[in-house]
Amino acid sequence: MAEYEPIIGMEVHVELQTRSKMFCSCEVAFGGEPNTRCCPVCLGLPGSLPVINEKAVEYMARAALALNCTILPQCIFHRKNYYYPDLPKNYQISQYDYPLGVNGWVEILAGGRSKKIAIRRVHMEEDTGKLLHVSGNRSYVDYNRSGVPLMEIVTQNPPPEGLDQIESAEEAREYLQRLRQILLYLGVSDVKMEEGSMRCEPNVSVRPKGQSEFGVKTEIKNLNSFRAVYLGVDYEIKRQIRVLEQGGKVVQETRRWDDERGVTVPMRSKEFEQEYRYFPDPDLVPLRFTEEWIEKLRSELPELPLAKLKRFMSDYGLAQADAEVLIDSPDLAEFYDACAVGYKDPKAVANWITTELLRLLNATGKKLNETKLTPTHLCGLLELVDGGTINRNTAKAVFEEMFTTGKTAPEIVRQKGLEQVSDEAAIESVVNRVLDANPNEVKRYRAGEIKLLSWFVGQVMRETKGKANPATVNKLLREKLES
Amino acid sequence: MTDALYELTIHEIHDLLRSKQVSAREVAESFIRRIEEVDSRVRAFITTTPEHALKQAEAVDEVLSRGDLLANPLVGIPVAIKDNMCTRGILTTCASKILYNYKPIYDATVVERLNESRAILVGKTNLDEFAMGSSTENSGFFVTRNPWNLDTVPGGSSGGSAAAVAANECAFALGSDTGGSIRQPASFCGVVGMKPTYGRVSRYGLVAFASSLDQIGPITKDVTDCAIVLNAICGKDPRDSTSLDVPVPDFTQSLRADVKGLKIGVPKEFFGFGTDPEVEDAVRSAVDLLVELGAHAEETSMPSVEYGLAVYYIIAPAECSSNLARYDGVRYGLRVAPDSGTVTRQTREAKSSIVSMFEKTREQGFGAEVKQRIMIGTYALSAGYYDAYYLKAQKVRTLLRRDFDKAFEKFDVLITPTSPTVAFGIGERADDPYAMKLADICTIPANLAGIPGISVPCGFKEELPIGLQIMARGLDEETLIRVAFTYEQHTEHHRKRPPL
Amino acid sequence: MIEHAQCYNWAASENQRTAFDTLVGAYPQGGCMKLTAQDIADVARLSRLELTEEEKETLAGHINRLLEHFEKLQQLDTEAVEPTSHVIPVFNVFRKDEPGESLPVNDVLANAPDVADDCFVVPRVVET
Repeated sequence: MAEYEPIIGMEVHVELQTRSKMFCSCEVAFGGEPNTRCCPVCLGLPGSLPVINEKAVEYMARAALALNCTILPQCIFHRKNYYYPDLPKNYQISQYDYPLGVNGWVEILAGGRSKKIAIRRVHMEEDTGKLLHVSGNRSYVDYNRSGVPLMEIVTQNPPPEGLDQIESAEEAREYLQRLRQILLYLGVSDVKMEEGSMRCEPNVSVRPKGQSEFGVKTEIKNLNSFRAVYLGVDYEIKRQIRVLEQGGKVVQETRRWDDERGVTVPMRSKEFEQEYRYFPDPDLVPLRFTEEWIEKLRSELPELPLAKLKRFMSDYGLAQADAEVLIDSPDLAEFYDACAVGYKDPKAVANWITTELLRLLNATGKKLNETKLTPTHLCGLLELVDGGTINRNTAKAVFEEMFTTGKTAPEIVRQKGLEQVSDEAAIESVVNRVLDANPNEVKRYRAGEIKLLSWFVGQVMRETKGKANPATVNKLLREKLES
Repeated sequence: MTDALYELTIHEIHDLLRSKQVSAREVAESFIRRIEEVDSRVRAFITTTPEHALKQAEAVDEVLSRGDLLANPLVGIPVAIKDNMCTRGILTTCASKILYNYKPIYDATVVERLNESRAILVGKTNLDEFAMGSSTENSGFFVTRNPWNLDTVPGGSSGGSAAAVAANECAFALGSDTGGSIRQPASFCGVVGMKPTYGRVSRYGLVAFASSLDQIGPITKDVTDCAIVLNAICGKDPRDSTSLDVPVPDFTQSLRADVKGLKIGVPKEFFGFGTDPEVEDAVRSAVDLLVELGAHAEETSMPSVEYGLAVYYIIAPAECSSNLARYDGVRYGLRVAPDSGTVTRQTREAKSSIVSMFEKTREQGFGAEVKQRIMIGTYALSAGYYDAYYLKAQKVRTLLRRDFDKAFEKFDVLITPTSPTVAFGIGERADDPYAMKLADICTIPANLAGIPGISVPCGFKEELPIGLQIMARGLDEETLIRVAFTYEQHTEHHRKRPPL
Repeated sequence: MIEHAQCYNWAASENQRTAFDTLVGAYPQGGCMKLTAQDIADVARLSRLELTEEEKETLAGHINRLLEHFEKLQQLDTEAVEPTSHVIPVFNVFRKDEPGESLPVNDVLANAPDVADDCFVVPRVVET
């Protein structure tokens, strides 16, 4: 039986988070009442004309650079002509042979084997409106989304020399996650698959190992989460192999992922290529980028997630799993970075962040920037523990307080009187009091029931409201009981 | 106090308003009465707006009584606007059934500018459907008549605007020019029409036919008025990416009768298209007159001009096929219900009801000429034919531009007939679309090159006007105006009005 | 149905030649039509025009005649010539990313043939 290898191509659309639309000044937002963010331009009214949003171009150029693309010196908008009721002009302003960026790559770790997934092009276009399918024989159209800036990122199969292609469902998911992280770091999109600001249409083919030409590919639609992308691609790979093994042929088609049933089902036949009649949009003039502008954008790129991941692992000695958690959100990564620099034990901070901080964020549903916590706060807290001012248990309580009030740890400790008591004289008087009050237990201990020591410690801690330095308490109790 | 205010030019009416000899209301009323009197014969207007005009005029009188805006030459001047420019709340049909009920929710930039100048809108004029045609016979509603001879066409596509000016139904009009649609009807109707440099006037709100060629311009009774209107409508518009961000001169400063040392090129190719000998004579006499006045003229050759028509009939339909895709019955205009029972499963042949709605709406909404151009354009842009047609046409367009560049290295202006013939009879060329397209043969090259061109009356053949076309370098409308004005100062053709 | 010969005969009739022919190039001898009836149907489908059979025939004639004229362009060597898609030498025309007022929903829907719940209504669009 032949062994098969899958090849996956990815076409990803990302809505940009500009304030206004690609070609008009209607606001970019999610949801809202239908047809309330529309104007003559995004409704395609007769006589209206598009004007390019400068910020959208800048955002997409930044993204193209972050994806290691070459920005072409001249960039032209084309019209892609097709009829659909959610497309108000019945053409989409898009790009064709002069896209913004070409020949890039995205690195993925692919279970330890680093791969550079080849990207063919990054181009700019406008989003369509939305069709709402209501009951009966009618559909509703809402044009709020029409004209939202959209970036299309397409992988290249086969990849050029030195670059790779996606070859499994895991890699497809990781590619998408890395892409999402990069765009999140650039701050150009909120990249939410559930809200549709990141949309992915993978195409899948399989071929017998060793065969150089591609198999027949199918395209999968309706993948609204990373999980769905993984499951959909995985299903499709297995389905195609099954078809081939049974002596059948894979049909070139678009298939829809049915999340409930966990299967892909055929949508429409793609026997013949769509005829889009691309031509340069005469309403828009070409864009020309200077080398200086491109270099300026490049120099302003932040450290990208994978570089950060590697640095966290090498500089701070973190395990990949912990580092992944930290870099997944740029806010968290930045927060951690600041803590790790300001504190002697980066692993301990990582631990605090991945457990205590994430627990609180999850519990409160807050984003990091919505809390009053700062890296200095967290480092300050850990220093109090190290210096013996408070103990670990107290620290957790203080942390919660910091998280909600924004007060510093020393402030909270002082105000609530939570300092650990290490003064021997003070502790000794409590110890004496406890021993005096429990002569029976003292007798039993001295008779050899030494496990009672922890009971005595508990009594002392209760008396001191948990502030006594446990080491000192232990030491004094032992001295007194064994003397 | 004249009782025929409608006969006057912009600058003449302005003088009367300024010296308070007439009120804006009297001016408006005069034109409204004139429209009532003659438009049943001329049929220049798709929509008239008398109530709107009177309201605007009254507001103008109030402003004028306070002594404001007296220096603004368009205050209180009645204007007619081609029905492919958006007017808020006022029917804008493009003479197409597909937009039979369309009332825009915004004003075109030129309309805004005229409103700011306090011109008075008297109505929206007829055109060839979506500006596609040369005779206004392709209007989806009715045919406009040439005021000089009601059995002949007014030219097109801005036939309604040119006829309205010639028939004194407005003091001036706006037209749009994609391949000659201002200049050619101006020529047929014996008035002045200018297509400015591409990008001089904002296209925002002009319903697009062929976006890389369309340009709005004035149709007026004389060259002075042309300069006045240009002053009002030219200039950068942030809503039109292709509008030019260059200083706009005061064009009235170019109203000087002075052509001394002017270098005129007379490209022979423009006389070769079956040009009527009387037209050729009139044009050559005009050149002779300018030479007498101190200009130098020389015959020249622009070989690529003969490809102009072919290039135009690829590029314009290609752009039109895309521009007109939006008329589908979803958001505005005509909607024709789909066939019942067409909601079928998707197969290669079966149509969904939405596709059926699109197809029926467009089938019934568009006229034959529009459909033909959509089909040609769709074909020319199709994969496999793109290089042979569209790309090739764009390349030849480059050659044509180079020819103009070369000519303008040597000459300040080029002078040609505006159209090879005078107005032809209604229906005469209806069955021969190719003969029809000939009417634009001299005007198309300026659109392809993006340069300005003006048509001024230069004689008559059997009581039908002949037009003289002058073309200049891009952005050099000033020279056009100066040459046209000089010519006008020494001739009487522009003073003649049709006997209606 | 449009037959090859029919089109040829129509176009080749000397009487029907006009100045247009002399202008944009002589009608090529033995020229045959380019668009078949199927092509016309395909282009009509792409253009979303439900043409009648009669229209298809007329259009086929007109379009083929124009296409013949376009042949003239192939005589020109344009190998090294840049195409002109914009006549104006302008680049980088932008607007600032500043949100402005959108239209009131009543204006958005003002010209709509069918409206419900502040949406444009169309015949059911089958998930294709």
